[in-house]
Amino acid sequence: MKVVTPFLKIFTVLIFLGVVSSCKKDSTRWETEWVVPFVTDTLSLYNLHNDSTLDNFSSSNYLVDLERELLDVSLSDFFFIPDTTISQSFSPTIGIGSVPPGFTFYNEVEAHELSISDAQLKKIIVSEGEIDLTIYNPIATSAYYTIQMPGVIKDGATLEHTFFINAGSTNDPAVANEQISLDGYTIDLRGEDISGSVNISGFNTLQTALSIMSDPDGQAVGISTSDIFEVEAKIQNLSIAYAQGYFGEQVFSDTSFFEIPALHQVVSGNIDLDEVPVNIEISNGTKIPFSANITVLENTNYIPETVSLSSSLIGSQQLISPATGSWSTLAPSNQLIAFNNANSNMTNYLENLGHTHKLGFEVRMNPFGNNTGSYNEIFPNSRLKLKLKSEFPLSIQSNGLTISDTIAANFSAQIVDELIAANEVVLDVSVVNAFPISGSFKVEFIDFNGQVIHEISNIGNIQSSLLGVMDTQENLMKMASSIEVLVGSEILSDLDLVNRLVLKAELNTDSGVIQSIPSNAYLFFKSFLKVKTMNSTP
Amino acid sequence: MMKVACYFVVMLISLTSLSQSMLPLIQDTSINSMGHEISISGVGDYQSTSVGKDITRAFIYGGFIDEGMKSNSSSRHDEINRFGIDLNAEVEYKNHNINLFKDSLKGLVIKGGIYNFSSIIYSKDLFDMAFFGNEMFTGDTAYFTGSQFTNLSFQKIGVGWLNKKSKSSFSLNFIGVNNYLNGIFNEGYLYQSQNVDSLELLIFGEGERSKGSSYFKGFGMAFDMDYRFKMKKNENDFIHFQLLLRNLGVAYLNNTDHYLANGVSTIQSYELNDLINSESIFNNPDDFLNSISDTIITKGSLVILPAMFQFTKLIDNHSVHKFQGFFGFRGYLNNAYVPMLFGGLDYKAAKWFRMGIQGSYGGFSQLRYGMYASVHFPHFDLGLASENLFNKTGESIIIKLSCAF
Repeated sequence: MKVVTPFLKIFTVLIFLGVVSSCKKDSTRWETEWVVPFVTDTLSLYNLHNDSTLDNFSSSNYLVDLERELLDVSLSDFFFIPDTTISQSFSPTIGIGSVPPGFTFYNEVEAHELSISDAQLKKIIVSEGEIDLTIYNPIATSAYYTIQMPGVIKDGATLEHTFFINAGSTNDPAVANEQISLDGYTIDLRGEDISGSVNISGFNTLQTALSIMSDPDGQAVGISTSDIFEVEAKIQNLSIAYAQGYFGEQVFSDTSFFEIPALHQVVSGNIDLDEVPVNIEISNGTKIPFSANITVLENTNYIPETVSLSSSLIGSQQLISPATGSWSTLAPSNQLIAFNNANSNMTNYLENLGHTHKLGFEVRMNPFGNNTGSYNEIFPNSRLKLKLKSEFPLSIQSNGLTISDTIAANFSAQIVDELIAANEVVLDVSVVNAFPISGSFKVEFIDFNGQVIHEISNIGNIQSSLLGVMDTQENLMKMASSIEVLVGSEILSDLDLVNRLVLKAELNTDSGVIQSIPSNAYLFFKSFLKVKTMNSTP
Repeated sequence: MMKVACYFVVMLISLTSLSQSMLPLIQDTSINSMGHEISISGVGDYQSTSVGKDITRAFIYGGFIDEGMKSNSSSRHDEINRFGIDLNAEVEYKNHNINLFKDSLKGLVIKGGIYNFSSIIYSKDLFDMAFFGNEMFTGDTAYFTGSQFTNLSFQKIGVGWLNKKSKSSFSLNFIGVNNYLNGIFNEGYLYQSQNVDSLELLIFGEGERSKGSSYFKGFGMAFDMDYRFKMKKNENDFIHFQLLLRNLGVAYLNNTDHYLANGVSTIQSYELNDLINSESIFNNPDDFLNSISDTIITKGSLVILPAMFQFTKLIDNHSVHKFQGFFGFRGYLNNAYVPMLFGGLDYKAAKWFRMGIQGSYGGFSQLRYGMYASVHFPHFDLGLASENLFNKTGESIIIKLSCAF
């Protein structure tokens, strides 16, 4: 049979053309719109309510009730008694042929001076501490060593301990160790005068009395001039609950810097404030006279421009009286150094919007030396404190005050790829503003070289709460606003070049009005992203 | 959410690369005197209850799917919708000279074919999500529950015998599977709050996909049966019927990735500190996907082929009537395919030319109309048909070429 080939050839060509033409096809494309929750948050001053900064209870408007502690020193900061070792030893000047059993052959009192720099202590009460005793016996019979510390008293009894120590030898004395707690002991450090009475003018003196008795049950032994009977007492880890004496002319001085982080973000504009008083309160809970001197107070703003507080109070000594009473009746002495517009340029100082403040102070103990005729005394609850205090209504006039914040754009590569493929991204933000301040915003896209490669500046305004309505439940004026931030394709296509975003907000109040900020005011916003994508299949 | 949409889109894309058939068959009980016969047939058919053919064409030929196309299709959608594509090509050789089994009426049949069958049942929300995004579901829930899809492409080669007079035939086929994809959302939804401050995606579902780069991913066996019988109409005429079974069999795939998704994932609005501290989905998108608890197991799978069943009243080539009717029904082993009823009228315009019209209801679509034409020469037959000419949601083309020598 003959195959009819002409038709097969035609169809072969047609099939080939069909296959080729079907391979050559455009991509399939369609647009979709996706929404993804983004950020919902409330910006408020709530976190400042409980740290002694803002008072939201006393008034319908915020009051600044600022209190910052600059100095707080206690008894342990005034002086330090180092670990001290004292020793008392005895060696006969002539040999004793035979010491019978039970014979006390040494009984002496010795005074020891404690090394305490700059302080002349007459009396201390030990809260914690101990004595490590090491006793050496060089004779060939056991012995009883009794150590007593005159003037070291607890519950009316003088500190006294007797130790039994075995027999030793001149070349190899027997050694005994013992530890005695000093907790709660009162120590009279005045010592004794020649007559054996308390030396009223004495200080830093500790006495020990040592007696040595041969063992009554032992044997008679001889003592040679080579025998050394010794007691070493190491006073250590001493913590003082009370001290009396003269503590020297110590000086506490510092130049400290403190930051107001939020003001780091100010990049332009200014504010006007009502008068803002600032007080430095010094509380002296010791019975020691002090003098205080504020040496410098200045701040530096974003420009950077530094403004110093100028006042006659800067650089002048302020005397601080000792506390009165004692123990439970101790009443601190308080001294206030008040800065206001009458004695300083305080408002100008604050309106400089300095983010870094520098404060120098000097507190001097016993500024008149040791000739006041009275003792210094420090009790367990004695403290010397310096505090910065300020209290004023939070009122502000903002004139284009612009704050800036930077957010690292460390989005995942997958997200960046998907956003780059998007046609358009819109950030839809709904805002409820309870602050009497309006705001306009700008976003800058910064590349890895720090260059601004794109900017979105046509973002809508967040209206001041004064244009809104009163919420009687929260007792706040509120204004709702909606803004849409359109991120176009030209920005999206460069998204992989973006290293960080800079958000800038320009804040304004009504012109010429210093506006009080209502208590519990907040800015609530919720946002979501609308992403328009062009989907494509090959 | 994006993942669900991607599955849907991938499914649509895969459907466009697939395939089924049928000119009304003509029954000729005379023995083929030429001894050899080769027929080549091809079917391209896609149908849908809802998706416009403008969208499907865009996937086939490329182009932009605009809002109007999407909106028109979306408005046609009911809660449950179907879409299917049947693409196939077959070559069949019949030898009438050989007497198999020493029976003078049994000839030899050798055939081969390539098939691609895809179907999807889906919710309207799934279509809208894939083509519009999730913005339209703000303050609403998009449900995907019950959506399922399948795609199988395979090839076959078979051998069998035919009855030279009745034209009934039977063949046993060896199957090679090229690709397999199957999935179902037992439960799934996406909820978005009115304020777009939270978004919750729940997916309880499973899926299978053939794995590996080899050309054949699995093998199987299937049989084809073409049983023809006649019933007496009157003294001179018979009515001829055909019962057709095609690709009834199974295949085993050694390696398939079996996916299980059982989880709920939520995206809430972040606080500023979350962004500053890089603790958001924008920094760690994998956290969101991981919370869906995807599990992948590789294992073997037994796959039932999408066998076709068709019962037809045939056209009698020797009838003296110019007009003849035909009717029947068709079904597939596929739960997206609704049994299709069809019927039509054949007109013998000349000895060498026939044409006809037909209508059908069911399948992946609903009501469809089609036409066909065929020419007949001593050694050569050519038929061209479409089962779906005027429908907005599908198209069909059938070509059959036969040579006798």
